[in-house]
Amino acid sequence: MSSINNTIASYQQKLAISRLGLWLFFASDAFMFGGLLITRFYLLGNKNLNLDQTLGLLVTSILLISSFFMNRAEVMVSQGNHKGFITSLVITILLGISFLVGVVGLEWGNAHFGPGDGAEGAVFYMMTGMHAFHVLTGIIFLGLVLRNGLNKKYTAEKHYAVEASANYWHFIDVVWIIYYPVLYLMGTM
Amino acid sequence: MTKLSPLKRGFVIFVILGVLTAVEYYLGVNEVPSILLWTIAIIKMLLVLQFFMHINRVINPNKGGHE
Repeated sequence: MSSINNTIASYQQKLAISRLGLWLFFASDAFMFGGLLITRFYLLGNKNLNLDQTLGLLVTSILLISSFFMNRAEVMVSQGNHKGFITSLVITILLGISFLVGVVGLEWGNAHFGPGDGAEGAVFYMMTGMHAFHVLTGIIFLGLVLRNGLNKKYTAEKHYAVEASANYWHFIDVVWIIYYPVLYLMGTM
Repeated sequence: MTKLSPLKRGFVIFVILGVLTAVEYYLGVNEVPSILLWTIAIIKMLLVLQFFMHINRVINPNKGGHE
């Protein structure tokens, strides 16, 4: 019994350290995204970028729905519902790909300026590009978790990788929660 | 909110975030002062941090469903 207690205590300690490490990474990444945010106001002031509002709302909604399904996947795995976990994870990945297509495939093509067209282009493509890169790495992360999930490597008791990937996905959502109004809605024409 | 099951809580937070996004969009296209948009964005961010990212698990490592 003592051995089992030691194993549980050891796992809890590893879990606490892993969580702290992940949040320290989020903090460092937030500084980078924060720097880009400040750059937007420093270079463009209160100017509106005049982007496609419908597309902006659409990609924001897609990312919001993906966050819901990612949360659902985490809850499902913690309840031992393997099928629900896999289904929710697949939906999250598909929505993530849709978001990438919306921003990189459509919004970048629709924008009335290119990356080299002054401060507007630099700010817009750097902010959306850096965020899209994080979405891409998030999709890869979720893909690895899906592969392990299909091999039934996660249990209701032990699934830290699912929690970490979910937190990373929600972090990407948090960044877009700030970037969406800053890029699409704020400022005057 | 804590009395709800995790699935229901996730759905309620999702609906609240959806409504706030719709309000944000409406205010944004009508060019309201930025402070309103900042307020909504920060509320949305705090909701995700608290209910989807479970930021309190960092402070209290014993919380979280797979101890």
